[in-house]
Amino acid sequence: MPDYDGSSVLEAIRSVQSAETADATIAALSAFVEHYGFQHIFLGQLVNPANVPLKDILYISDWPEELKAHRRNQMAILYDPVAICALRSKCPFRWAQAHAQASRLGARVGDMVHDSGISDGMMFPMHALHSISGGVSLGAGQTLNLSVTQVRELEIVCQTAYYHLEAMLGPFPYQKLAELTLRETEGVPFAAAGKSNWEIACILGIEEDTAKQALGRAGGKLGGWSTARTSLRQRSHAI
Amino acid sequence: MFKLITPKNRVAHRDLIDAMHEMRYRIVVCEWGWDIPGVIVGYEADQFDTAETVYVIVQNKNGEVVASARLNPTTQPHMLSELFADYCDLQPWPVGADVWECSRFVTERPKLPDPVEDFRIRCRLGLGLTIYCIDHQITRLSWLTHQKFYNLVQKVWTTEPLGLPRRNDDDWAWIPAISTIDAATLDRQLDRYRNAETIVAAYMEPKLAARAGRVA
Repeated sequence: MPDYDGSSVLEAIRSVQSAETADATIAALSAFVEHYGFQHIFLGQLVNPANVPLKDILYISDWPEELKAHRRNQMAILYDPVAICALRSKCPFRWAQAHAQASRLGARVGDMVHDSGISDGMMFPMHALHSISGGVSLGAGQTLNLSVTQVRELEIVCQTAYYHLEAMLGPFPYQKLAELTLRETEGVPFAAAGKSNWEIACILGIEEDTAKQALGRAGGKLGGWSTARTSLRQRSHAI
Repeated sequence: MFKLITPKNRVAHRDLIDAMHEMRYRIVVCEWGWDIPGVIVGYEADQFDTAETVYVIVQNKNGEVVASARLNPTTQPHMLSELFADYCDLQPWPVGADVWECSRFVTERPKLPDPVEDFRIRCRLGLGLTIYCIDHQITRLSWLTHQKFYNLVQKVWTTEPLGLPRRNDDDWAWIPAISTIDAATLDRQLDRYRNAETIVAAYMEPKLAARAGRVA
């Protein structure tokens, strides 16, 4: 790119790096991404919610409150198609790519975001040395047509902001969010809501044994899953 | 802690340098799968292992080389100037007596099963780089970093990119970068080295909790 001028990118990076608070960091990132048509930022870790409470992780968002509440609710992250796609992706991707592979529950997440006026977006996965750390997800109210260079510009500024915030607010535990199959992904939120294997089988239209096996595999991948399932069930009963 | 191999003391450390090249082959060629033209089987070296190159080498308790990095002056042909000049699209690659290039930052993780030891070995490698730079009035280090490594570099040294992320066939991105070396950097690194157990414990806590959950 012989005639390329990256001064605005460098300026944004220096602005992010000199920010002394989380708000100032997000403000610097917002000011930069607005030029590309993005109005919303979700920045956070992608960790196993069974083992790490959301309050203990890097999680900053200027999304509408309803979406944020849904995100915090139970194990929504486990079937968010953008989060699932980020686990497998080494490079930035359009939300539409993730939605194309979404489960039924995942598609509902996409619909909910769309209904709140955020119709397009890009996810920038953040990779730590030994696993994925998290991601920066940018949302827009209209369909965007970004060039390859623009995506690369956004990627380096998002990466700078993410790790600047991590250094400022951390240290945070790194733990890769388990990769679940479609069947496991569909069953987990119902199990987390306290449903029995029989109930989950009825909801998903599968055999009880199939539900049991899928949830057993999900439990193995999620580590402290059984503990989380119990605690979530207890919490829902308390409510 | 670490060994600094310079042109002046190289002859006295021939065996150590050979062990380093052998370790680099195991990691760079066998584990990472890099295709290095003309590489000798079992011994990774390229045109940037020159008479002026400085090496930082870390050994384990058994004396085995488990980590190394190399430094080259930017006043001579180096990787960014010869191979990756077109990666530097945000700002030109820096050249000067006070700027050196770091490359082949390699650790042999299969020999470091203890995560605290693994962390400390990387700390020792970073400390070796910083101490050599401070002692020789080198104020900046340039790198071509893997996207996974870029955030680690950022954590230790004040760093900004020289170019936008560039992807190869395997989809991982590479980012050319420049880091500032000063006394504050050294303090930060020493703190990380001293607090290795606490830092690693914080990262490991969820994994340990998960294992405990399974046992229960």
